[in-house]
Amino acid sequence: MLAQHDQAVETVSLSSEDQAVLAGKLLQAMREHMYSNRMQVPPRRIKELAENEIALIVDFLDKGESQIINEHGMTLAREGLGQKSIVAMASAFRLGVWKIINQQPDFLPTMNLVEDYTNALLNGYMTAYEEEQRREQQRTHEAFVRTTTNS
Amino acid sequence: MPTKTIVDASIPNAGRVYDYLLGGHHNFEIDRRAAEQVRLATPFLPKLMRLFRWCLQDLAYELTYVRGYDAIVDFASGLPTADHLHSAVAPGTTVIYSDRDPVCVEYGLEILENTPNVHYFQADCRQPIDYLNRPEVQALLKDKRRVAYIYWGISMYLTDEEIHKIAQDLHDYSDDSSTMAFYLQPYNQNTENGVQVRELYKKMGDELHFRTLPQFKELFKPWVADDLGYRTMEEWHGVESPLTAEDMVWFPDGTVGWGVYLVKGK
Repeated sequence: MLAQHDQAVETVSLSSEDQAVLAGKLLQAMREHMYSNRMQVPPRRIKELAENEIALIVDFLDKGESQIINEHGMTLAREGLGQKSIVAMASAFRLGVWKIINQQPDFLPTMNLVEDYTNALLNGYMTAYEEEQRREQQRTHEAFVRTTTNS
Repeated sequence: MPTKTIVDASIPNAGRVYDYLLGGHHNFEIDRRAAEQVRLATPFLPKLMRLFRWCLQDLAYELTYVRGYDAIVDFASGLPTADHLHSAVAPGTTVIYSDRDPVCVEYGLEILENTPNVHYFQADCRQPIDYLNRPEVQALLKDKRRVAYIYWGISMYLTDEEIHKIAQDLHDYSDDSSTMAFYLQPYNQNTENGVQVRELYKKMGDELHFRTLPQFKELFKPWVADDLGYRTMEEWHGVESPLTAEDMVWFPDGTVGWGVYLVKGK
């Protein structure tokens, strides 16, 4: 992963213009799926989320710290970003970067890095999503038991 | 609106159907089946529900940071999940949730654990004064009458008489600077699918009631809208209508619903 990252650093070049284009694509993808989001992600937060995502991507391409991205994915799940939104976001990111860099020589290592990013993001998201489901199941069970016991 | 079927997991429950349509997991197979029937008849419903649920944090911010209320009494609260009022109020605000569903209350207490200044009681939102006068609620409000009341996403479960009585009772009870935040659900219930949906809810023990904006205004009297007025959900969130041309037949006013801060008329 680190070797891959070192190689990619030389080829990745996301100018501020590229970042703006990418942010636009993320925003569009997230808006299309905003109704899959749960409550802490109302429409007005989408722009902020897309911009934050770009900042994280740029940082990741620079440093390659997948743990941060994994934790970020967990946060998004806990805040209620919808499954459709995160899948669309990952897809928009992958396609967006590819369109930007595919004319550059040696773009494959960079795309590998992009894969690392989306994998870490989706893994974190799924881990937290499953945890939340299990927690809700347990709470539901306990609430029912207490209610029937009390009644 | 919780019903007698709440603790019975073998009968669909409107509250759990609502939770499922919002993407929650506090529901059972029987609820999910009923929810899918509802969704089939009204495909726009999950979007509509998200639009009004997304307002909760705005309400919390507006009422406490902007208008300075330090006590919020929320009726028919449902589950106080991470997005609910208490997560967005100003520090030191007392938030009092209530719901008629005992499972919801038990579940809510577990979610809240020992969150400071946040409380959850079982109560019927149609009897607000009985509830406000209960010793456990009075111990928190300490006879305070400047309170923000919230009835959000519940209008369809209340009859005209009930809404009018709630408005009258809270108007008489509270002081001149109190506010009541209310979500208004319009709907054309005379369409074929509208009848079907009402029948589905009837099977779950709930009668649905829908009204036009002028009807709501009449029922709220003597409360009136504040300067923000009756805002459509689309205006509130700055989004385009989620309704298709086909859906519009359900919403003769062209919106999925309105949110309003009601205040005492001059």
